[in-house]
Amino acid sequence: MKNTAKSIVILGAMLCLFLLSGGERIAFAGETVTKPYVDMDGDGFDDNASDEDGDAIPDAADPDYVPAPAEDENMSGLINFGETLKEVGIVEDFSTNMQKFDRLDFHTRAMAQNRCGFDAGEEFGSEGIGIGGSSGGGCVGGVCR
Amino acid sequence: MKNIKLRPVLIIFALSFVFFVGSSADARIWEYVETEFQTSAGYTDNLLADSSAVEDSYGLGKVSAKFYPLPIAEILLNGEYTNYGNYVDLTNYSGGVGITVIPLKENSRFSIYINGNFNSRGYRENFESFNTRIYDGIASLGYSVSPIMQLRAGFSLKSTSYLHVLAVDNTKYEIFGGVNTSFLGKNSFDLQMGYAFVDLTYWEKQVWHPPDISGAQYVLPERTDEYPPTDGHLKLLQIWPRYSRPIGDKFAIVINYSYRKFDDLGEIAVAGVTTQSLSPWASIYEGESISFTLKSFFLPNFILESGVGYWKKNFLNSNENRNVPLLAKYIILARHDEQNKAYLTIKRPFPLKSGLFIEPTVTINHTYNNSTNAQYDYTNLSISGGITFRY
Repeated sequence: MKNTAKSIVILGAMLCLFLLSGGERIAFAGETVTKPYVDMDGDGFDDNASDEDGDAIPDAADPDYVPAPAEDENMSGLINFGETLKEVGIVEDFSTNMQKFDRLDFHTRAMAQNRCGFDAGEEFGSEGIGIGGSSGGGCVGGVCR
Repeated sequence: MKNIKLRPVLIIFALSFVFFVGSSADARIWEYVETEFQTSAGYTDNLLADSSAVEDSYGLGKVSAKFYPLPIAEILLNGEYTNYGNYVDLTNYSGGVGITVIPLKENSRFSIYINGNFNSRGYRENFESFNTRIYDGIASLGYSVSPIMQLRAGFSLKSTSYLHVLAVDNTKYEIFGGVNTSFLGKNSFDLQMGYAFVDLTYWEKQVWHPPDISGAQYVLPERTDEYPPTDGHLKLLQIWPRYSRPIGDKFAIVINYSYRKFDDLGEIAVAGVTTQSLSPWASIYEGESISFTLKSFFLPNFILESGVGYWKKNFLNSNENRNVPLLAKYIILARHDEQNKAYLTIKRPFPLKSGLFIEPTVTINHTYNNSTNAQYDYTNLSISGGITFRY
């Protein structure tokens, strides 16, 4: 009985450590982390993680990703025109219809699938004849594939 | 190409034309259109997913085009052609059209998602009884309680018409609600509950005869037209919790559990259509399942996904047409399955600077199915390789 209680305490402590681990998201130089971890597409990875090249591999795990160099504030003593423009620049969305729809689609990714229908679970491993790719590319970087 | 109708094939070629020739058009067209072409080839040692264990190879081509006339709408056209090496009568085509509308702004706490599709699939002469027309739709409403929590509720339906077998037509209606939230940093929990209805035609227990043969629960009289089936509907309750989280930057795990139960179901039997992979009843069962999925980026530039799962399925009794000497031609069979599945998928995405996206994929699936109905005792190993082009 004593051993059982001891095992439960150890397992409980290990479970707590597991659940609490990885709470901090790694930020690259120059990147501002503002969005918390969210997984609505159900692949385990953060849907909000950045994916610069759109290959469905988050930048943090993508060897192709080259972080943008951090701005050197001491580079010159002249006027920073970029900074000035940020304040007074015209804010307009020049995205295409497809890009705008992709953003809306990302916003509704959890609503687009009914996991409780009669056909639920049938896609596991895509057993049937098909292209393969059990769960598509998932959602990352604000786009779902 | 004998017995294959021409219209869907023409649709596929037209969509291919959009994909391959359209790239020379004005570049602005791609602000409104996205095209995708997929092709794959594979081998399976159990094509029909039953004890017949028919081995075969297949090739598949799929073309789709998405149009964006408005920022809130997407129109989808798709065509698909599947060709089988030995079991040529199973060769089939399908074509479909769909529309998705998301009418609210992305920064709104509320979200609305509306989607509708029509799809038609046709087989060669010997499998024409499996020709189908499917209408499906979903409408759902979401509310973001906070950046890490979203509530959702919705309604969906799917109507399947078998063009040559009226007794197995069915329409499924489903209402569902769910919540998704993150907790303690990088842990995600999703819970969905649903209640589903399906219209169906069935025989009630009163018309069955007592069993007298091995493997059959009950026996129907030979002339089923003297005992016409009745129309009714079946209700299913389902609860589906999911836990997921990343482990480091390159691994993530997902654990799914599902529980589904028929509500207030008496002893009934439905018309059997015994090709398991095409059966209209293959997805109508009660039981539970648990699955574990691992997704990984540990191989540079590759996406690996693998999973194992266990399903316990109690199917509807089915009225099967069998040659049983001295008794009856039709027997009622019960079916309870235990199923184990495992799969591995490897993808290598190539996003090119021209905007073209190429992704080769290899998938291996293994299924072991143990059933009280000997016809569904089977294993299935399938291997497929495919490539996707998207522009």
